[in-house]
Amino acid sequence: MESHPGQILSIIGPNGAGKTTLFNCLSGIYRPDRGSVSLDGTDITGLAPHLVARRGLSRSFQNIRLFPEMSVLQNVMVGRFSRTPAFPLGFLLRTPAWRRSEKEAERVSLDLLEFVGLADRADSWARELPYGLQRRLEVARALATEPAVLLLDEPGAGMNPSEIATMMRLVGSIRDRGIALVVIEHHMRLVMEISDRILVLDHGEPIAEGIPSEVRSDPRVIEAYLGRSEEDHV
Amino acid sequence: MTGRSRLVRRWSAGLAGIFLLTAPFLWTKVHGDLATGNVRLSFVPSNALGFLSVVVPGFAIGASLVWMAGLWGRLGPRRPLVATAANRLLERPWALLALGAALSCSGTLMSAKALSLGSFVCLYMMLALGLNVTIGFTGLLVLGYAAFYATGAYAFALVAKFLPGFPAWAAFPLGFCTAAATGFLVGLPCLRLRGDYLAIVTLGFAEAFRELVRNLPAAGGDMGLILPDTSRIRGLGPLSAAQAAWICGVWLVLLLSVSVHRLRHSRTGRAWIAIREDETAAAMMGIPVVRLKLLAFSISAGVGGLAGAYFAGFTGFVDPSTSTFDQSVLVLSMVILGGMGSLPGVLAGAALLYLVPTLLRDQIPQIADYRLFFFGSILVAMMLLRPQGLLGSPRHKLELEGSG
Repeated sequence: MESHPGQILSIIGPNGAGKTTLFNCLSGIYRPDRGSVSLDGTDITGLAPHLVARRGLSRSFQNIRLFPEMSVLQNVMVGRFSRTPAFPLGFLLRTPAWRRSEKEAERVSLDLLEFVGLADRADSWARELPYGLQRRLEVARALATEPAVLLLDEPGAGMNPSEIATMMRLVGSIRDRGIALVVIEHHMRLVMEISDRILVLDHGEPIAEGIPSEVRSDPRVIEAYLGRSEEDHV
Repeated sequence: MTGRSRLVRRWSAGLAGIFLLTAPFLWTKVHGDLATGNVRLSFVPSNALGFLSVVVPGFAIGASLVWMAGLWGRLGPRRPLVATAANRLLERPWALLALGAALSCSGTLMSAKALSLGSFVCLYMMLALGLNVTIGFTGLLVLGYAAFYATGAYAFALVAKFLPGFPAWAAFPLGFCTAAATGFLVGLPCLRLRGDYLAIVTLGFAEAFRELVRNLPAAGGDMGLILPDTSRIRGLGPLSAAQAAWICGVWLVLLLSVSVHRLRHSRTGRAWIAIREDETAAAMMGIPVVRLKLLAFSISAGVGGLAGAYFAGFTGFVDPSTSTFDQSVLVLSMVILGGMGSLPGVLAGAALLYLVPTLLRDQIPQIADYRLFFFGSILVAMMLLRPQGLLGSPRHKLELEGSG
């Protein structure tokens, strides 16, 4: 499986196919038993999650995992941790260099909130956001780590059609920034419209890979998944 | 209305539970020899009356404090009035300098008893601040915090014993560094693991430390060590030793408060809170979880050691009782009562949980026997009524109710 800058690779498959597990292996949360993961030619298999993030791979989670006791802005600022310098004494003395760094982190975070459309909710508590906005906040937070590759785990889950349309536009904008996107999704319309390539998993195995029109007409895929889901996602 | 009746039900259930569990131990007395099997139980009404005379006013005071805190919680759109005010004060160094100066000057007007009380309040505030960094900010449970307190105290006492003329002011960096190094070594193996291993390991370490100093003649054994006068906090000019100790305590608390506050509002503090909220998500956002947990724990331990050095400095005495589970639970209760993660909260918790029992003890000598009961019931009551503590943020409570 390959992912390229400015391209969207979608991963689809029935529930339990192993899509999130795949993401966990890619992001360092699980250590794979076989196979390898490399980023820009460097092997990152089994590297700890924070090191993977530093190398430039970030993700959102299937069950939204925000930091509930922090504001929207602070959630995004957490993502800036690995991209800001440490100030061993600067924080204590509040040196000008430290202040500049904090202001910069805040500015970048606000820009990201603007990008996802949450700038007006910057000081709200993360847990108070409606579901759709929480998903957008997770994306903003992941973007704060300046990833080269972004894994989105069901960004459209639980959303109504207009929210899905907004999410589609957001994913498109991220792609336009030159980030390589890998997206797990169940909403077939979303997948077919935005994907450059699709990978289909079933029972932990890849059963098809290719451009949307190929995958859509692949009999194995239809049998395993698309046939059932077309009824679910009318 | 349902919220309030549910509250009343939980409150009554909690109280009833406490009384039922403790009644057998307080109302009755066991006579005879358990070995021979010749045992008799007798009902001791005077014990019961003594108990009630202590507990009823105690609960009344406690309940009114909690009720008042509940009222504060409803003031203002998002945060309790007192906590916000305190946080704003911490942002203004000049206001803090003025506060420190005022408190220092008032030392000249305070009686010896008040100075002693005040110094102890400063001591416990330091301890609560230190423990809050690990428990409140980072979300790691520590059950043996007294170990680091004792490490600092003993480090100072031993150095003072073997290096005569060791000055008191050097005690603080010594206490901090020794305890921080110890904390680092203790945390290194356990913080890699998921789960609350740290809690048990620190508990074991506290007990091990106590046994160690008890069995080492060089460390004073059971009797402890008395510090030479040159190393104690002494009077300066017109100030007596007690006044100097009070002033020292005040400035240490202010310094630590500002430091911890600034730590909290930096990228490190944000990372700690993120780890507390969701460790995996934090790691995924580039936060080196183990390294930061070690940092939090080392700083916590260091502050505990600093407090220990202060204790040794102004009392002039250390003994194994500084490293007991009792002490660990006391500081833990202060943090929980005040509000985990809330800086002004833990300071308030420390003051309350030191002053109230100490002052009551002077009025009613029997209360000393019921000390552990008091702390236990306060913890239970807080968990039932206000899990976020006196000055913690209400949101924390909502989350706990949802998951409970």
